Amino acid sequence: MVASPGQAGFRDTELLEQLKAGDEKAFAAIIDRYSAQTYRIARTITGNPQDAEDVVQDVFLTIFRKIGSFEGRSAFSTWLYRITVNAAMMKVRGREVRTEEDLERWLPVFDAEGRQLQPVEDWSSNPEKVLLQQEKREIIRQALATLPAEYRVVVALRDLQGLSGEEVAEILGLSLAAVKSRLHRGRLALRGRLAATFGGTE
Amino acid sequence: MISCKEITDLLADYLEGSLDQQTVQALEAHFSGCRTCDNFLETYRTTTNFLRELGEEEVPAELKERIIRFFREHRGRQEEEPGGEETGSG
Ligand SMILES: [Zn+2]
Repeated sequence: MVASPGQAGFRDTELLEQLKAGDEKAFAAIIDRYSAQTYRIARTITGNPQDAEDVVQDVFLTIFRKIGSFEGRSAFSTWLYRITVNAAMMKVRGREVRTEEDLERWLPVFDAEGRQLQPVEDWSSNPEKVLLQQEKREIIRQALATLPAEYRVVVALRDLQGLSGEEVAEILGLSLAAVKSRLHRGRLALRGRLAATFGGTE
Repeated sequence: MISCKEITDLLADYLEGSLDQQTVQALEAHFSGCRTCDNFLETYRTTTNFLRELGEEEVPAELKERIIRFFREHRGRQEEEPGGEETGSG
């Protein structure tokens, strides 16, 4: 079981002091508390388990090396997630080929009156009927992998981790409006892709 | 009259519960009269639920142990790195 980091982030000053002193038990406590979340974020951004594990190792080593310069201006969790995102984005940089057009082809299309041009079917209960949980997850992962990385990051932090829009904005150094826009467009594109898989006619 | 496109733009706020009561009523009236938007809402909601489920997925059983082992092996090579607190924006 992994304790929830909580929305307010990590504010245990005593543990922070122990971290700064290089106490190994304090690091074990931090790893215990945050490794699962860190792994899931890295997995979503990089798209594969091995890269995710490399990222997680990097992240905790970076935390260890830089904890002395952590001033607590942001929550510890915000700092940790920012390091995680940066490390994961490094992995995908260069090999990423997803573009804005890749995303746009999955968005809904409207006519001049604002009506959808294509029929929309409710496929929401289809996956449960025909797929195992594991198969469903695999399909969702594949759909996620087709999003441009800057959308995947937002979806990972907001929807997978359940962080608030404000916290995600702080982690990524974006405005709240930009976070909301990327989240919505990312979800729309994922919905479109999943409709192609789970729906019949859409 | 609120259009299907405008409805679509408001879905995230609607699911988050951050719209005012009047807008919520307008949306819900639209959903009950527009099959397209109602289906779209359900599948959009399902998409976000799938993503949340992915966030609850088990991580590898030995992950923590491997990280702690890696950490022990590498902490000795700790070097002072220049630069202050890592910030994206400030
Ligand atoms: Zn409609």
